[in-house]
Amino acid sequence: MDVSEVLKKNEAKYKPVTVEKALPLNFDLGLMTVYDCNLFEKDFNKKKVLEKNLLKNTRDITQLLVNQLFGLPTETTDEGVMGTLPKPIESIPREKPVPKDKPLTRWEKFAKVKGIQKRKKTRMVYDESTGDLKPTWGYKGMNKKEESEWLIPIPANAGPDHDVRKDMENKRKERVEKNTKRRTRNMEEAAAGTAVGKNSKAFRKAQLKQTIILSKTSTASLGKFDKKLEGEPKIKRAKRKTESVTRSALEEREINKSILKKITGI
Amino acid sequence: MLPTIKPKTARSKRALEKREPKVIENPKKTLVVRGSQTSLVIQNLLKDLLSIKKPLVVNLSKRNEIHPFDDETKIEFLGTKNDASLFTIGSHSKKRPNNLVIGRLFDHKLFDMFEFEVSNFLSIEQIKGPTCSAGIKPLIVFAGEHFTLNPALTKLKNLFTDFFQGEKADAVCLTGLEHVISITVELIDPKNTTLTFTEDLSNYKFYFRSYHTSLLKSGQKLPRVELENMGPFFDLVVRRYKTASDEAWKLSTRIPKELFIKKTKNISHDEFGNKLGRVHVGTQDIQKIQTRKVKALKKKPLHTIE
Repeated sequence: MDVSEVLKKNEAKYKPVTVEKALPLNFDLGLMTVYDCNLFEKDFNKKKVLEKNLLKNTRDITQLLVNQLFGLPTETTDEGVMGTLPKPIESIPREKPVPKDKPLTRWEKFAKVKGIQKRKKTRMVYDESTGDLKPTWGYKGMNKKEESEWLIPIPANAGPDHDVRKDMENKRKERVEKNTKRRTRNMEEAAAGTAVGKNSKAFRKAQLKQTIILSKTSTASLGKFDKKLEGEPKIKRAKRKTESVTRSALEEREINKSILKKITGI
Repeated sequence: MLPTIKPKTARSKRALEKREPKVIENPKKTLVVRGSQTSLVIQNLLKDLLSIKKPLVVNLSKRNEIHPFDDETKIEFLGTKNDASLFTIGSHSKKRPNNLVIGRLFDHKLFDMFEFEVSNFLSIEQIKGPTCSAGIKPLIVFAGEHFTLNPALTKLKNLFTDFFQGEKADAVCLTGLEHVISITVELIDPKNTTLTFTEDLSNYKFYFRSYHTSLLKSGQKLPRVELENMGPFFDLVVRRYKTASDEAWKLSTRIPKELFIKKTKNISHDEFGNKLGRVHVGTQDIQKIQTRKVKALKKKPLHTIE
């Protein structure tokens, strides 16, 4: 039995999916674009012919692009058959520059060396004595538990006006203060690190030097009779230049002219 | 430029973090700006561009006194404020009737832009036929040899791709290919028909056509593509343009080191998805190989041999 007849008949039912092009097209499937560098039929004067040509040409190119897209490896999902796109060939500019690495803070550096991993801490802590959850800090926080106990033993060597509660509170506040100091220091260092190539110490040193020099100008003697600091930088000031006494008449005249000009404004 | 803001609340901090430079970037938003004076053509064109680009658009529909070729700070400001890096401005004046500017920003600074004269405009409304759903990724078709012959047009092609491509995607629904944007370039040259290249971009004409595709049965796996007019249709001629400097181009196309795939040595994959590895074994010492233990091969101490 000859099947070619049947095949031909079947084929005739449908329009073809193949397109002939003189030059191969440049596909960029990652961006779903195609570029056809073949010569386009030149008949741009008649509007109707132009529209027809544009439609026909676009259809042909789109057919080839769709053929390519249907040849991609597929994945079936709930939304339908998805063709996985390859990486784009043409490079499209970014919106913003590539993010820069942030300098590590003092703690982050330390944690890296020690291999300390960040882990999440819940805000609420279980209080064993009462059997309910309490915040770690803040109002009725667990960090105030000890000082708010109804009975606190006083150490034997304590003075008569020693307030244990106050003492505990002060100690807690000191701890908080210490931490905030460290935090601000870390932030300053990080800021300095971004300002001058990560060398924060040198940056701060230079800054301090500048401030000292500046502070010297606040006295009438420009810091000449001030108490010297240890390791104070020597300040070099520009020497005053005095004009020579013997100069030509021409020069003298020019200078006088310039003074006159300054005054009269002519 | 907007001053750098220090967030006061956690919410504003999150909002600012969304705008920071990232390794994998947010999809580019487009500013659709109405100029100080617009014709009906330009108004309808902006409306159509808006509907093509939805939902990644910010529409500035009030009159804006913006002339990016004279003063680029205004559009840079708006781009920074709205976190948008693509823009299109439509305007109409006696000197430049039916004017459309398409451009993009990089790092809140102007990157490149092209100014066009719009003619033969047909809007989506005017063309009867099916329309595609919003937010769909279009197929983009470029035709005409001039896109490679003229380096400025290659850059324009890149801008068009960037402008119309929509959101970046790793996968695409094959049955959902609904929209085709076709841009054909032709050199208009009344005197000399053999001319293939000019520096003057105003000699080129771009035919922007947007069609709705339907994928028909073809008796095979591949579908037969048929197109229907959807709109907008318009022709463009370049008026003025400004391309990006090489330095800016280099900066903007840098690939972050996180996205570089390290080449793994000696591991390959075949067509069936099998992982193949090549293992290197040093030269074998044949003397020390453990073979079958036969008494005759055993080394005997010398004094036992007689």
